[in-house]
Amino acid sequence: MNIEALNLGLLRSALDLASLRQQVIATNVANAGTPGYVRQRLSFNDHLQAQPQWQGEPRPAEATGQHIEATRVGPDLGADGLARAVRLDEEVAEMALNSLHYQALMRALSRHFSILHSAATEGRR
Amino acid sequence: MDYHNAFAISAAGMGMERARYEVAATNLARAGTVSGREQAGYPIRRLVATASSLGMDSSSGDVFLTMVSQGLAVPAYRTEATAAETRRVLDRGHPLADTQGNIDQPDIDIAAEMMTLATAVRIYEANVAALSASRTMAMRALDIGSSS
Repeated sequence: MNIEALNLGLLRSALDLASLRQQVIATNVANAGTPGYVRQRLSFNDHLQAQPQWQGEPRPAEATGQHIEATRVGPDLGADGLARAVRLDEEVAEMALNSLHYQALMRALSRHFSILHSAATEGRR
Repeated sequence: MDYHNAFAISAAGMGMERARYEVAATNLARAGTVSGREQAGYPIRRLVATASSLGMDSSSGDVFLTMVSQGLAVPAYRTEATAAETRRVLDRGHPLADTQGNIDQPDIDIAAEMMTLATAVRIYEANVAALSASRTMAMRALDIGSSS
């Protein structure tokens, strides 16, 4: 099993996405006092659907760089099709969630490297 | 994590709210002043923020990141002085009063200015929260590879 390519590729995509999302949220907060600003929103549903099927040997995520390209940053239109204004509490809550998510990914990455370390030292500490 | 950009976004937001606060504070500081008979009154100042170039069309994540690094995602603002509107107040004993005993004061809506102050402080705090979240994420990125 090629643990190396699979883990690193997926984690890199997810970390890039979390970083992009943080910048989108920071932009929303920075523009909160601007009249006429339309809340920006990150969507990456298409990206998830574009992932290869998880059957048999899992394939690593596509070459890095494409996933950022596949995400869309655009105006947040509500169900009525009208542009939504920035709500600070929502933004801060989403930011906390995103930050936590990023830290969880970082921990997974550290774990991954410690597994590799374990393999490189033949299990000795 | 490109922390230069993330920090720059929040710093721009904080800068704008600080400017908004300063403009409102300046207006409040001049609320009680009296302009003389021949003097022009104090022009009330307003901070005019213009929305960033992020329009109604969606773009890919790469385009967004490029706009952020070029500083196009943050709001632009300028301070404008409105026409000096004055309020006539009857104050017979005042040395600057005219023949009817009226003095001119800048027509500043104190409640509105106070509301501007409160809103600016809240948005400033949200920007600080965003900055600190970015900082936490950047610090975590430094921990990659350290034994967990």
